[in-house]
Amino acid sequence: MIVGVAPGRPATTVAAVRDGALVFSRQLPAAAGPPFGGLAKLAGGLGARAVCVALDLEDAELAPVAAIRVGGPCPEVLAPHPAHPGGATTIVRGGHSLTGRPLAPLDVDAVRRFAGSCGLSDFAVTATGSPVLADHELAVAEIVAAEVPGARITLSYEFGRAGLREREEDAMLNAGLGPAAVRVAREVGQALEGLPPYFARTGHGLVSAHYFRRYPLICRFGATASLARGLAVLGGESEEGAARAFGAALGQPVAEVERIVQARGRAELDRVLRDARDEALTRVVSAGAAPGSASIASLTVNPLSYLPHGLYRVRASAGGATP
Amino acid sequence: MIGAGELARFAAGSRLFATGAAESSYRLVLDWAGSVIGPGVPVVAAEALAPETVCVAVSLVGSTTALGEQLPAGDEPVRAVRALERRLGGRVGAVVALNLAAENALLPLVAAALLEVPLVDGDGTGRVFPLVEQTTYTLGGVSATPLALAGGGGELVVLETAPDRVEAVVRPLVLAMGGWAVGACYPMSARELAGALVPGTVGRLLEAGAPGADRAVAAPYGMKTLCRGVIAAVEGSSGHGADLELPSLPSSIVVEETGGLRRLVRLEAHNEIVLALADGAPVAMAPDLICLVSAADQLVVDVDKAAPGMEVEVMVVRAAPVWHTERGQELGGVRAFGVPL
Amino acid sequence: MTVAELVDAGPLAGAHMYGSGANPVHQVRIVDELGVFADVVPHTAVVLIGAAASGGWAVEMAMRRAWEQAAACVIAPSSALSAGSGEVLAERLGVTLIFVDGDPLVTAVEVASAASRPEAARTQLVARCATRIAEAGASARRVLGVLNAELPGTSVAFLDRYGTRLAGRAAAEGDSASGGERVLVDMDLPDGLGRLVASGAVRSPGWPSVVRTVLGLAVAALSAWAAGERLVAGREFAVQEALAERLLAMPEALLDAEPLDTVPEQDVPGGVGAGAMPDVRAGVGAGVVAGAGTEAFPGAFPGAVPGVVGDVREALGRAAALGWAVHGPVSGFVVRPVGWQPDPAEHAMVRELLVGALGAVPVMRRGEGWAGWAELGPGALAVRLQECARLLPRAVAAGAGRQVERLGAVGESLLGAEAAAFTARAGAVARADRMGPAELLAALPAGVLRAPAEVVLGPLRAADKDGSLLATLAAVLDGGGALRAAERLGVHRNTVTTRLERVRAAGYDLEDPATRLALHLAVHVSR
Repeated sequence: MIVGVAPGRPATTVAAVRDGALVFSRQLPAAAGPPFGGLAKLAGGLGARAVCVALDLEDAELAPVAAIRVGGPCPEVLAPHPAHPGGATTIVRGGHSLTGRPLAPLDVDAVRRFAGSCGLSDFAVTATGSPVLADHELAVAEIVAAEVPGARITLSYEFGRAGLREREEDAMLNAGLGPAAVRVAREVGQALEGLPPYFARTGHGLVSAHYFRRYPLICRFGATASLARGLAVLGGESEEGAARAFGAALGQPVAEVERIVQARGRAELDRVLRDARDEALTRVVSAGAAPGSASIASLTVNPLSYLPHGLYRVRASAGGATP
Repeated sequence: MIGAGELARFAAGSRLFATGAAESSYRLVLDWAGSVIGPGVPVVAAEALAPETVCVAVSLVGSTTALGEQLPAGDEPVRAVRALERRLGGRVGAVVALNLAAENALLPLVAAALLEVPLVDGDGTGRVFPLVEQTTYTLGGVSATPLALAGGGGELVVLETAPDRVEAVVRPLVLAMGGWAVGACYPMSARELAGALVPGTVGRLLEAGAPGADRAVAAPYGMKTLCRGVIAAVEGSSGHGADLELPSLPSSIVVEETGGLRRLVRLEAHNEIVLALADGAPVAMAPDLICLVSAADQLVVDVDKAAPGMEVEVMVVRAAPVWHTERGQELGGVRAFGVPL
Repeated sequence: MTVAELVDAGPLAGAHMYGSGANPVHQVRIVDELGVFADVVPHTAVVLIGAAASGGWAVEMAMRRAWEQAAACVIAPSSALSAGSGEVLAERLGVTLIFVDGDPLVTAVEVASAASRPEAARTQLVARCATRIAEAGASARRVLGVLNAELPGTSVAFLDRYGTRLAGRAAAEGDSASGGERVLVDMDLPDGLGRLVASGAVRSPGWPSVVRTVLGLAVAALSAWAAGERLVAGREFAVQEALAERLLAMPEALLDAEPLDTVPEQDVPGGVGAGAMPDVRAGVGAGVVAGAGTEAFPGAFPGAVPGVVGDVREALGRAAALGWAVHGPVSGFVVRPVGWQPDPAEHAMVRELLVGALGAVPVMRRGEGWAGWAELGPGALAVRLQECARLLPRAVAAGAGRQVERLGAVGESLLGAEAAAFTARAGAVARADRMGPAELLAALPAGVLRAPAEVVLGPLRAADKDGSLLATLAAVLDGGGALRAAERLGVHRNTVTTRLERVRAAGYDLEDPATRLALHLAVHVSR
């Protein structure tokens, strides 16, 4: 039995799902306290294997973010711009070209100064070339962690998208959603009294609470995606909360990796693809898949034009089952 | 005149038939153009310039992926043009585009704005080709060199070589600069330019990019829809161009026509689609432009992103007449892409 | 000769064909560039090489030109074009397309030679298979080896009637998701022997019928093989069963008086020479009793030694040689079929599985089921029996008897095992040493008792809003006291006492043994 949960006002809807079929759905009694009161009792009583929560972070309040870009100077319009008025940004020297060549040594003093003086604790770090080589993002993270104890740090390479600015926007948004995600994960965790929660992703699939806290961005439209899935199976006539809760319970843990890799020859390409696969598998286990169940769902490799032969964009997606 | 108000239309027009436009680099150059365009850049016909005005073509050279990753410092177009001016011993009076596809339409606009000179209404292909020398300027007898390249890391190179060596020399230089550079090339007088360019194309994009405008407006020599269908397969291809120095690998896209004759349409791509077969019979080929337009969002589908199951329209845009001459065929025809037809 | 004939059994055997292949082939033309097509005449098999085979586009243009010239077919290297678009275009243009894996030039020569002497190559294939199957003899493995070797691009498997593969390739079973593969022939064999299944790509419309003809040639050989196997298994089973029954029938005192290890090996009398023993033992150990081993135990035990003691010794010796437990402690077991009647083949199957799960043990027929004993304790025995029940394709229930110290007492253990097996549900194993009220209750026919049970429970249900009274009552009756019931339910002892008061208040006298029994039965049935 898998339980899907759609928190909502005035009441939270719970769907019990077995073998992909909706057994029943009902609203949690409002008297038990919103939004998750009585959830643990119900889920425990049903003998639930997993509890899947469908929520959107769209309305969540964004925290002010300290954004560090590692790269060269650029026109003001292309520089990082904080979404929150309390945010802070800086560009420090460093980064790598797409061939992995260092553009400049990382300006560690500038990183330390900014981290120590910005007064914020949610960081987004984006280095030029990090899809190829994430060394500078990792080095920045180390300095920030030492300078700001308890800092939450998002590294852009973990989102892997092409384009520095797009990746930076992702990283900043993820960092901004961090505090809200931690709060939600704690609320759900407490309400479930030890049952492990899963959170619906934008698109399809689920992630563990741990993964959700770290990468809330990928769950930003979890409720919207769950509703679409639920309605697709149940039909348009269904009650919205039930469809959303049901849609969430249909998911399975999913995680992906996107990288740019350099490989000269077939053997080296096979090796880097194996690494990408292994990393996707590790991630999906971290996202809550039972280790034995993890498998690669797709692997795409595209050569990059107008660049040296042997540069490829690699995307690996892994799926698994809840324990 | 392209000002803040016209920029969106020009940008939209530049994507109507553009393939290979990486989202990130296009957005980047568009934002950049918006920040430097100020009161606007005048657009003038080549004939309207004083005949001896020095004109240069400005273009992105190299990888759009690299540009999206390693951002420009902002002074690249000015540095490239100034370097060429030093070599030529005169001031540049107008900028012209090499081609008008996505960021390559916007980058000359950025250069013209920064240099405070007009942008010439026209371009060097009437479409897009992968190599620097595949232009009507070459067909008109203008040399691509001297050519200046400015990289994002402050690099600056002025290059002189025989026209057929340009690509071979430029490629490794650009890679050493991190994968992209802004190139200023084909220095020529306004008189020479007037005889060599495909005229009026900037104006057409402004018109075609207006909301609700017909895509055909951007195709001055005509266009037709070859078929509507669903991509059945995308295959690695072989048998042509393996030994050619083109920037990407050959592939082959199979489309099953959904209506009409339900033909099997095969598109051979090498950087771009160079040959279309319907049930084994050739129906379109370079130098005409063949592109896939997604039925979902009406955007041109990048050859690299074509995937089975996509609903597409296959369109053929007729190239400027000069491309259909014997010399034009030699430079930009199907044989230039290694297909022995 | 038509294109299809070339593919089914001729020089193109193993190639993939798209299109009907109905066109006759009169000559062969090698084409290395499209310009050559201008002189291709009708009924030509066109073999593409070089630039003309250099990619999907080239092959598609060649097919178009072949259609214009009314050629018989286009033969291309399989690397040149994806199967999907080749198939579509072959159908659209009506031009047969054939993909070959080998060198197209070699293919061209072979096709040319076949086209010039069009005797049926199919007959050659069938004749070759017949010869090789005859040479393979009565061995399923060898026969399937021949089929898989001779039928190009096709996988063949021999499945028993439960769908288990006995020989051949797994790929034949058809459910593998490999593209283009499908079941070509699924042939039932006579006498419930099983099925022959062949899978592969449909290389031409006539190919399944060629495969069916060749599989037909194998039926006689497989029937002969099965008859031989059954004979060996049946004879061995009968011999061992007779030995086990004999041991059970012997006086207890005699069986237990002389532990076997005090009997020197050379003293074991009878038809078994000392030298034969190790052979038999080795055979049992390997899980397969060789025919030669069973030959040592003629069914009627001729020449039995006069005198009961000698008889006992002889039987014990044989049992020990088979690896059976003869010393004790031992536990009996009984397995019964639920809802079916085993036929001889199924008897053999159950016996094999029991020996597989329990080690070398005797297996006798008991009623419709089976019985035997093992060296294991009832706990371990029950676990192994459970495993065995899971493996069997049909439903059985099993019982494990109490452990007894001596082989002489095994009869008593078997009685317990039989009772336990009777109480067990299908698929379950019950232990005689754990038989309590719960197990006896479990054996009751719940369906019949459900209606009367609801009558008994009616007043209780009326007072029992959330089911807690019924649960408490069940715990008390099963567990034998309020304290243990409280522990089991995870509530305070006083809660149990209070709930029992409410049960009494509903009109039940819990001190009355008859009421208690009725309630206990009703509670059990209502679960």
